[in-house]
Amino acid sequence: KEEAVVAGSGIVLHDFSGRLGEQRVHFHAMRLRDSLFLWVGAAPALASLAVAMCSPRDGVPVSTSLLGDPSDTASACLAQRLARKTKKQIFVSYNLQNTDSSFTLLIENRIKEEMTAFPEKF
Amino acid sequence: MAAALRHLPAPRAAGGRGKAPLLSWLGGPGRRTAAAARPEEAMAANPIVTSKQREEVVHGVPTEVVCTAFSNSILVVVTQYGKLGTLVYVDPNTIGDNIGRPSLTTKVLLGKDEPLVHVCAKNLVAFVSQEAGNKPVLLAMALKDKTMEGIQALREVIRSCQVW
Repeated sequence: KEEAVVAGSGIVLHDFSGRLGEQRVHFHAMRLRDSLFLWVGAAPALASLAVAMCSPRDGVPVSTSLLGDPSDTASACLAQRLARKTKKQIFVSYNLQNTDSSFTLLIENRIKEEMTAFPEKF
Repeated sequence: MAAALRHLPAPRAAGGRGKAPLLSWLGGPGRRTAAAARPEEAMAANPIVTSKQREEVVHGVPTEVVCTAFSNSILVVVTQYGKLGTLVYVDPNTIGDNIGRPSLTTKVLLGKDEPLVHVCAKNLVAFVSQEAGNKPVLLAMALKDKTMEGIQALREVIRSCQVW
């Protein structure tokens, strides 16, 4: 009965993975109200975090690094791209060594593929 | 505290490791070789990080808690607004105070950086950091009720989502 009171807006967790290049990459998504937390990694560590959101003035979403090496922009870049796609506030923790643009594009495409297949999870 | 918890609903299904393969593996010595490969198969299908999730009404306020265990830290989300809200990094100092417990530093990564935020953060997740073997905790909190009683009750909900 009490669950019914708080149901509806509930946080949704979603795990998926993909073989990208030579690597198995894991994804852990947490859908919140108007926002999304997404962790990406091959090993279960959280070493970096960034947030991005669309700005009413600017075409490019604004982003900032919250945790980890601020000169490592992989988390912020991915957050920005996903913010532009979803129009939500996006938190990204990108924990892979490989930050080549061709590789991060594979990552992004894998995420978008999952978003299309399971829109209710994002 | 026990009275407040008695009526709480059971935790919702979360991404923990499946128990069935492990149980069948423990089923008997005769089956061991045949079943030995199963836990590995189950691991491959399971998420790489473990999360536990709970929705509850705490002191009249609908609340959601999600705890996720990473190898180097624990992520704790406590929200009464459905959002992450204020992000606080709670880090145990290796040096510690003089009575053997590591002291905790709190750093607001996102949101209002005021004393009450630091106090709430330490109160909510100091025990998580300790029990996890002095791992840092990344805490996301969006609270309507920041009273001492409220925080205490929330701590018990966090405890019920133990992943560390």
